[in-house]
Amino acid sequence: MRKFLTAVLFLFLPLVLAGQTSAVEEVLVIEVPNLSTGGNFCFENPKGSVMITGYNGEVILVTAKLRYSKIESSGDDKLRKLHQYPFEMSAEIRGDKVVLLCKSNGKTVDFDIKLPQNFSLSIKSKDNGEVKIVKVNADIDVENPHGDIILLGIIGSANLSSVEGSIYADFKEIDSTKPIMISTLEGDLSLGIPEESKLSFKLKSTEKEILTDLNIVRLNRGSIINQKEDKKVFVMDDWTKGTLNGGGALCTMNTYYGNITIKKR
Amino acid sequence: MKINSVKLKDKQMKRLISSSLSILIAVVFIQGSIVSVHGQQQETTGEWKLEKKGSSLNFSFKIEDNDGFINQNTFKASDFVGLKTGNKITFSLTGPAGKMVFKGDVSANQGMGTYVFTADNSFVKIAKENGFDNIKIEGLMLALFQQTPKSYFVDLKKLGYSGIGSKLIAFIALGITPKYIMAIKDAGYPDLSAGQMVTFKALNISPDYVTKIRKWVGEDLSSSEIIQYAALGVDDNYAREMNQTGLVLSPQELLRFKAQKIDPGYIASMRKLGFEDLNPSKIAQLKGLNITPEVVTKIRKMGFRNAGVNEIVKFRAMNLTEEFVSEMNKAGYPDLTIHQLIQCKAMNINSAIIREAKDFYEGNLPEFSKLIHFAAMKRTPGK
Amino acid sequence: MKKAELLKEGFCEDEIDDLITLDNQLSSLPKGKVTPGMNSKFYLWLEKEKSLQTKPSILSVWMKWIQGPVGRVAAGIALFVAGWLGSTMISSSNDRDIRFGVLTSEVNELKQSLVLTKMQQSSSMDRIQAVNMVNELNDVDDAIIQSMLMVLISDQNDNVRLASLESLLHYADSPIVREGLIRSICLQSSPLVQLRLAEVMMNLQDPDAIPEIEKVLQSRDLNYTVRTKYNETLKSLT
Repeated sequence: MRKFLTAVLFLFLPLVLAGQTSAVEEVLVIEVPNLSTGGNFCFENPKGSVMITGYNGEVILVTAKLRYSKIESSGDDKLRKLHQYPFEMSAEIRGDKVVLLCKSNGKTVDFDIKLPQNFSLSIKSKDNGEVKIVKVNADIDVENPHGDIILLGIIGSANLSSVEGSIYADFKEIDSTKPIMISTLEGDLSLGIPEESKLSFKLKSTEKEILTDLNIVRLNRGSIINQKEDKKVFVMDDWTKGTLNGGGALCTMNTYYGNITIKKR
Repeated sequence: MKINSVKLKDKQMKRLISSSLSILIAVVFIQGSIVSVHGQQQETTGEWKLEKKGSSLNFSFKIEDNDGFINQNTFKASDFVGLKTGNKITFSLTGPAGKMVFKGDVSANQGMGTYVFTADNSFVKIAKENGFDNIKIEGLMLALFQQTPKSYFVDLKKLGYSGIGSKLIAFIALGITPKYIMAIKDAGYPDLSAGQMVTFKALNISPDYVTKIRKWVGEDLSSSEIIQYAALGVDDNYAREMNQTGLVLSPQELLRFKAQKIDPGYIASMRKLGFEDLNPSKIAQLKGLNITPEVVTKIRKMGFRNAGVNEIVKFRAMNLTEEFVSEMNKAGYPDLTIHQLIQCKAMNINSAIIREAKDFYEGNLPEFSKLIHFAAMKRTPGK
Repeated sequence: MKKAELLKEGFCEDEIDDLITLDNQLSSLPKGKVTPGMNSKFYLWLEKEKSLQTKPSILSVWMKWIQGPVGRVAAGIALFVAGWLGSTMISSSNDRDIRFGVLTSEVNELKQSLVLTKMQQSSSMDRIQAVNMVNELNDVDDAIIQSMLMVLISDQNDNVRLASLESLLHYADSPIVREGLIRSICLQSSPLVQLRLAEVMMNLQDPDAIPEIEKVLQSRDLNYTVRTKYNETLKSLT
């Protein structure tokens, strides 16, 4: 009996607690029936994380949650504060482009977005969160200067940049007609690709190592000529270049303080 | 909207620049040998100079084959063994990172000579075991000067700062201790990157500063915002004062207020003028256009007694003046609203245009809307 | 207030006044009255216009396509291929060499057009591809260099600017490129690009960079690594 009551308590505890918390969450549904085969989704989160999952459907479901929200007492036992809306979000559709807008007045808002998997993405988090993208089959463009970028199960190509964060990109399949470019200053770069992918690499880790378990053939490096007045100076190109399976689209990876790891998926 | 630029006489900024310069001087032209740990004693030689200032001994060191000097001016006489005045003397400085043996001449106020620095193998070994390999010789010398213990590398690794590369020199030079790192983590920033940690220390962001600022601004303050606050000199006093005005400011609004030098006195003076809905954005607009209580009083005396914040801001933004209002009054339009005055300014309407309009309308002063149309027609080419 | 905002945005005052004039003129036009037969008259007219429209011929559709950007590039490549095949079949070896040189030059021009077009695309990947392609060109004319410098200064994407900088390094012996790189020092906000520029300036050892580096070191929120690098570069230049 005691075990049963304990189980019941744990079952209903989250519901009880949910009633007590004042976590502020908003949901926006964007219907895109004409764009289920592909479109372009743009979002710049002024402060907070962005999580995007691709799926087979005709709707973009946006869930936004305030990260810091606490129970505020009104000073009166019988009255509690009913939160007004601390952030605003809206969306605009222009042709095949869907733009999500958020006005958060300095508050950290974390976004969880589900969208048709063929949507190409242009995503930015300006502060205080990571960007994570899962199962999207299109081009992905992400800037997250202060946080990490994580891509999982992607079919397509990517242009990813950070300053403080690390970048992890796992490709189920590469779009061999488009370049990949991944850059950061502080963090590590990690790329996972199918073993049979055809890529040409241009890699640089200024302070650390470049590691791989793939058969990347290193190429001899060229030189860059600098001329000033009557003096011609030949300087070796400071990138490590190589090809995988004969070469293909150019994959540029660059970090100052981190490692570069390229692994088979 | 104009935002007054902040002159960079901030102490924090000077501190940042001087910290960076001292780190740079400490690092200096990196041609120094990388110390290996293959059982050999690693040494470097060079020259030293000394200047005495009171009880402080300001040493500068030149590494052989390099062009620059490392300055280290925090020594006391008791740091050395055998330091005395005289010619061709020998004295030494010892620490966990190694030993430096000095030879040369020391007088009452200065000295110069040569040195030999020998790195301690076990120090280098424990650094490498904890992910700090390829430490440059300048870094080891700095570790000697700072008396960095061997446990430093073990502690840094435990705190997640293993393998920070060349930033180790900055960590040592700035005195980023495990204690400091833990205190910053406890204050609410457990995941700072090595670069952010260096910036925090260079800006002298103490755990106490972080705690106090978060108390007034709220816990929703990112590490980059704290850095901006420290760079701009936003301290907990300012945050508290702003909080006590009753305004609810976002972190970026607080920063903007500081950049625009908005203080509680200014807010109170604007409130006294009876404006309704004086929110942070409007206060920033007013300050951005240098609108003081005197300016508001002057505008009101021109006849705009009920002018609200938006109208005052528009008045100022369009550079309307008492003279212009007077000109319009004298030209036959005494009761124009601010909106109408703005239209006149936009259409370049002055007393001359009004006279022309009057002539056009056979000596009759046109009503305001017709005056605007007249001015518009006059500006259209060919008409 | 709107005019003040437009002025601050850099619009010419004359232009704004002209717009205000037009607006006033339009508002002063007499408004027409809607008559009962107006709707039916309009639709009758519409049907008449539709019946006068001829279906476009296949030729006109094709001509329209070929005049477009993609069509032009495709036509050029097709011409090149046809010319190349023709020349290998019927001309002597000397003539062949001359024609080859001409065709190579034409291909290079086509590639340059493609690069310039791609640099204007909204997709950042296309723009990266464009700046990477520059290094494959035999000859790079001023238009390409200017475009690359514009990308370095004004592109919104950090990686695109970084890629443009890397491509420009191959032409750093050109005074125009060198001056452009130096001028861009104070215009960069991304630490990634700033850091690379600092490294480049250290390599170039051009004293003209000194004032720009000194200016950027005044920035309040300059990244620590960038500041250290620029300090090192400055020291090496002075």
